[in-house]
Amino acid sequence: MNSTFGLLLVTGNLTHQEGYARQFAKDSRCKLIGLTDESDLPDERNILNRELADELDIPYIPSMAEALARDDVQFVSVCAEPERRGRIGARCARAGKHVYIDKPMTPYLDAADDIVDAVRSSEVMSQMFSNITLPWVRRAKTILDSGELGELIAIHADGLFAKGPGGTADLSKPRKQHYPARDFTFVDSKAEMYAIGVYALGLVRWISGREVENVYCHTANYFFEEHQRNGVEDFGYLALNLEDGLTATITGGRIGWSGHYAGGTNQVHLIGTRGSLMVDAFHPGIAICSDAPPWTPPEINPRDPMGFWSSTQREVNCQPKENWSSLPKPEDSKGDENHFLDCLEMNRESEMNVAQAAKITEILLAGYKSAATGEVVHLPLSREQKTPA
Amino acid sequence: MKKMASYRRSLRLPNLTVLYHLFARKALHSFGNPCQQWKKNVALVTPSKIGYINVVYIYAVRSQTTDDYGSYASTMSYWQALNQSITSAIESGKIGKPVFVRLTALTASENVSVDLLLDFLYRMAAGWMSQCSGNVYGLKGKNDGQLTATAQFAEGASAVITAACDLGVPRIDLIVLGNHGAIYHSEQIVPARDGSIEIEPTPGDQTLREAIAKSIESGTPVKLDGGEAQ
Repeated sequence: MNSTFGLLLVTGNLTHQEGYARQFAKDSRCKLIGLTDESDLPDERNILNRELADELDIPYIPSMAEALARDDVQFVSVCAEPERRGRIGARCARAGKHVYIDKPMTPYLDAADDIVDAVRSSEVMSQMFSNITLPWVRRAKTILDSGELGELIAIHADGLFAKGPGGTADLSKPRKQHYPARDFTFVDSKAEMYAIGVYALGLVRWISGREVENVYCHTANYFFEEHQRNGVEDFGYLALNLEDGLTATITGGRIGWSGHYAGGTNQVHLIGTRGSLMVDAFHPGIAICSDAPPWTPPEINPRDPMGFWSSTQREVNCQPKENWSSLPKPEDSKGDENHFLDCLEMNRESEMNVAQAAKITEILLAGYKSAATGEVVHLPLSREQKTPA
Repeated sequence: MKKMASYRRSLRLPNLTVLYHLFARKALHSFGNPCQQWKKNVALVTPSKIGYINVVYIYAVRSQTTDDYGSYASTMSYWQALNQSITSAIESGKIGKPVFVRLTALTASENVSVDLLLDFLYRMAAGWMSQCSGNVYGLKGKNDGQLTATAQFAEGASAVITAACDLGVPRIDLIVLGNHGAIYHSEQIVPARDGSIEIEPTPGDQTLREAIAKSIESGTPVKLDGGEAQ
């Protein structure tokens, strides 16, 4: 059994790699080998890539082919923008490397199918970042599996991030969803139902273990002018019918700094035939009242107005809200990254492998189709749509 | 029949008549049916006639005494108090314009019909957003104990409302998102001293319930135009 896994990073700062790389580096089973990316990228991306390599004191390897050919690389953490992410993940798998990939895996169905095929044919392991390793999600699953709730009949999950300077969207202009959507990521906005709703959707599929049969969806621009201008939603919900008569709803969105007393709403209701359960990421916790100055949102960082990345939030001295404090996590709780290392070490398939991630992509895209047409969309989707050139 | 008998029993309780009169008079104004078309179907009736019903979204409070709900006035039900509080918070302008409501309510009584409860919750949420027309989509699954309706209001706001029966403690989880802030309310609702559920909806205007039922049956969203299912 190989107890040390060499890690190649793909893409650097102003992505979630800022956090993933450092979490992997803390695990004694992992050794950072280098950082690489595709060629012909904008200069700013190249600079950000080199920045993270320098911060982590690892070499920047300009040629991805060269980096993937290295024998000391056992797995790759892929945090390129979602539009590039799927094809890079497939390339890494075909090079025989295990793949850890940021969420959501890809916004394109053919790219999702391709990475699933690449991982399967190359017989490598994979995992998409998700919240299923978090203690509150594990707790919900444990209670459900105990049978205490009886048969599960409904799940309602929310993933709403309280970040960004809200209140700027023009509410007199209702959103018109387009399908297929082409662009999902901008410096100042993301398609948030896709980018954040993926958590609640992954949770629903993992907890229930059931496939989604059809999707009804609504997307909206409720909070941010930036999202409205770029044609991406800041909020959305999905209503799902799953196998065996299970129903589910999920919300996903970015609701602004002032929209929550902590980091946002991350919770799930499980409704069973014998009982129900509501688990919240920020509960139990303690409320703190004091004469300390009230929390105020950070200044807007033009490099990251919505507060996507930790480095840019440090630059504007973003402070956590202090009036609510969740109780500490259990001591044995692990990060998503450590969970993937567990899987590699034990040669065990991750519950959130790329096949599961591809299903989530398909449901989210079905959601966009539903929001565009106003109709319920049945799965599977037609495979005619291709990744835009 | 069991439900109706239970309901009638509730009418014998001493504080109910007062509550009923207060509630019935204020119901249209304070319980959020913003649609004039729906109001046409409303007939305010006396307690003696309430056994069969043409009253919209009036909830009787069963076996409720003053100290069951020490935190609000004895003549005000939990739902009235909640509705008043949310309405006031919205009217204060602190959260800006309300754009989305997520409301999940669990009864603890098999005597409460989840479709009536859903109807009530939906109207209350629509009232907070001063919107009614739009698309309704219902989710039921194979079990009668849980119903969900989503709403896309014509003016742009939306809602996801769930009513379910849980044999534990009644509970409500509410999120009202405004474009400048949000309201949260997550509580176990204290049951009455006899352990019974504290609310019981009365059937009334069928329009919304029919629209939700139609959506569930067809598996498609249904347009609700000023209270009329299309």
